[in-house]
Amino acid sequence: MNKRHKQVKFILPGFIFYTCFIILPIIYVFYLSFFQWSGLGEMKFNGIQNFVTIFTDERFSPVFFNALWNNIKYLLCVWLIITPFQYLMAYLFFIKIPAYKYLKFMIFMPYVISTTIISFFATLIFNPNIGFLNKFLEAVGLEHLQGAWFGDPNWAFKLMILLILWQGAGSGVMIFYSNFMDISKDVMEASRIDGCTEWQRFTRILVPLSLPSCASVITMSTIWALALFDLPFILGGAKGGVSGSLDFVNLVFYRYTFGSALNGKSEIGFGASICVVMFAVMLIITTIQNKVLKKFEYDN
Amino acid sequence: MNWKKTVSFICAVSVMGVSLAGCGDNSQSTKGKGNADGESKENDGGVSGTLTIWEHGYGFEASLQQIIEGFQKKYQDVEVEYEIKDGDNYYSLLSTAIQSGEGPDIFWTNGTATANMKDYVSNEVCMDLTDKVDYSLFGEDAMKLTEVDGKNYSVPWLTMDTRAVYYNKDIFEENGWEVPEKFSEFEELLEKIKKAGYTPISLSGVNVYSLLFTFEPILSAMDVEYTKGLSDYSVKATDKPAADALNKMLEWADKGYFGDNWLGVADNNAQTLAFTSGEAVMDIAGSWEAATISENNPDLNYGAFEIPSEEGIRGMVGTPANGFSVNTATENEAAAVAFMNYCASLDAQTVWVQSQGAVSASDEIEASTEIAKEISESGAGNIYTSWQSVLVNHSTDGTAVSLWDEDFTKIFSGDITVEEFMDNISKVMQ
Repeated sequence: MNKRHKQVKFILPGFIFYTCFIILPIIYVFYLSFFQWSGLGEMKFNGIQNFVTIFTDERFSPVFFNALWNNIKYLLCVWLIITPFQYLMAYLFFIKIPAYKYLKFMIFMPYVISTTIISFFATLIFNPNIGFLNKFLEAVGLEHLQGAWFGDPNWAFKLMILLILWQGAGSGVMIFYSNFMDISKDVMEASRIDGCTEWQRFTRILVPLSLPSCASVITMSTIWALALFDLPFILGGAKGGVSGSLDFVNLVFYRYTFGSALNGKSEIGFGASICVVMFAVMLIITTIQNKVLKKFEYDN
Repeated sequence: MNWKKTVSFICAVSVMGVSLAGCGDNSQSTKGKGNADGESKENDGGVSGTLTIWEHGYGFEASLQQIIEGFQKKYQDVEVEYEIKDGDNYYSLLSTAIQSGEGPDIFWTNGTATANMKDYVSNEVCMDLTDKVDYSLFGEDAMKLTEVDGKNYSVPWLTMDTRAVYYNKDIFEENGWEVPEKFSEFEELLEKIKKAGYTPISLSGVNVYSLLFTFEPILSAMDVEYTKGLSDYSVKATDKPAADALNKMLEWADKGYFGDNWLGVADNNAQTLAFTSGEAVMDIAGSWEAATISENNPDLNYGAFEIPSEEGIRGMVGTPANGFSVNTATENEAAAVAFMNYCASLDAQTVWVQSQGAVSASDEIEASTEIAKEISESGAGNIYTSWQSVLVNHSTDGTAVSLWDEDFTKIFSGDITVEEFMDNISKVMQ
């Protein structure tokens, strides 16, 4: 009994803190999603009308689903481009390619720079009037290649992925690299003595032993992908760029909750219903993902 | 082992601090305090206590400090604190603070130019100042900003928030270009500038206000009579002249007058930078942008004019600016009302207009900067109602301005046509 008391005392502060700041706000958001409320005054019960608007309103639905599609496109880029790139870079550092220390520095450095400053760099490079890129193209006689860049729907999303690859790759590379360094030298040495080729070592030893870090990186990146806000906000503005090319669900939430995009005033209840829908989307994606990632687990 | 406990405690507090810091908003916030300078009080009427004021941008901080200083010369027993809440989420911060009972005594809103003050009034957040403040200094245009259902809920500032064409005088002189006297001359000028290898007008294609501040002067120049009609709503916001002005902008965009890749100019800052760096010869923007232009490039030799009509008539589109409202939940109503009356005085208005370097909306107040005087002279006393304010004031359900806000940029990116845009707006207009 005494032991049980101690266990309860041990978890109680964390439990109270987590309940107050995580669980209760989530429940409150669910509650708010059934109301029409500008944040002031009386809350009007609205039933499921907010959700009906999200899925059927002829103006809002296309905006929401375009933003959701951008989130999913970005998620696919995380899974198929960004994470493999991080893995590859970590492997190249692990096998100590020439100038790997310099490259490691170059990969990690942007990670410590804030997104705001990264976006400012992007403006200095890609701004069509004063940016470096168009000036450079003009100087070398390639005026025909000049573009609006983030103002061009064909380029905006791709450039944003490149920017994230440059800025955000560091964290994943760090985790993969640490995992590689953690692999027993005895195992690596034994494989060398047994005559394994580099490719065999990579596929038979490194890949299987680094699967847990893959699971961690993919899980974190997925959460980040579905909650993306700052970079597209600075690069394309609150409206989500030209033709919604940089519009993401968090931007839509921001415009329709704190802005006046829905009915001329801020609408907390409608914003809450967007959160609930995204909560469901995240739940579905992470459930599927966790089922797949479970296969990556192994017993030491 | 006490040191271990101490270290653990410090770590725990630090971690919690970092976690909670992550929950903070991303707006910039500064707190300040007005200082009574010890001069003798002239007339405080027994008013005392503390006031907290919220202002919405750092550009107004210096002016607010001067206003507080002036107020405290009269009311030395009133301590005034202010907070600058800079950022897009000003209203959400304000609403949250008011809802939680932690709202400021006095706060800025955009008056009836946006829906926020009306919303606050309907929720009994703004104090009725009709019989509490002496509004004798203000004209009809300024009072419109304060009025909801026949009662006044704010005190305006007599800075004229208008739009102007800023132009680079040095480039004009080098190329022998003159400030145009007719609309057709303005169009010819754009063509000449383009041929000379410059961007004629710096403009952001994705910033809804940058587009509006260019559209409205073009509209007023293309059809003076129509623009005059907006003030009493004898014409509709979606009538042909408004569509013609938008089509004119599209024509200019096609001709490259805003630059070949202008849709990539992400915001107003980038728009201004292209002008101040000499890449663009003109920038059509708000009168309040003059301060930013001078700060960006103090050596820039620039002037300002209003776009003339074909008959040579010029005018200024815009209104006076709105100022502060009083929170009904204030615990110090006497001091708050005294502050509002001080704001409504000629002294305070003069300080505000001149410290802002703004165009004056009053004959009794002289503008303090050359560029403000230039804009004022170019306007020749003709003041036109903003097209966008018509959307705010004459929408059947209050959504016209939201439609404009969401869809205006889509016209220029080609996602919708001018006709579709006007059709959507007309459905929710009176």
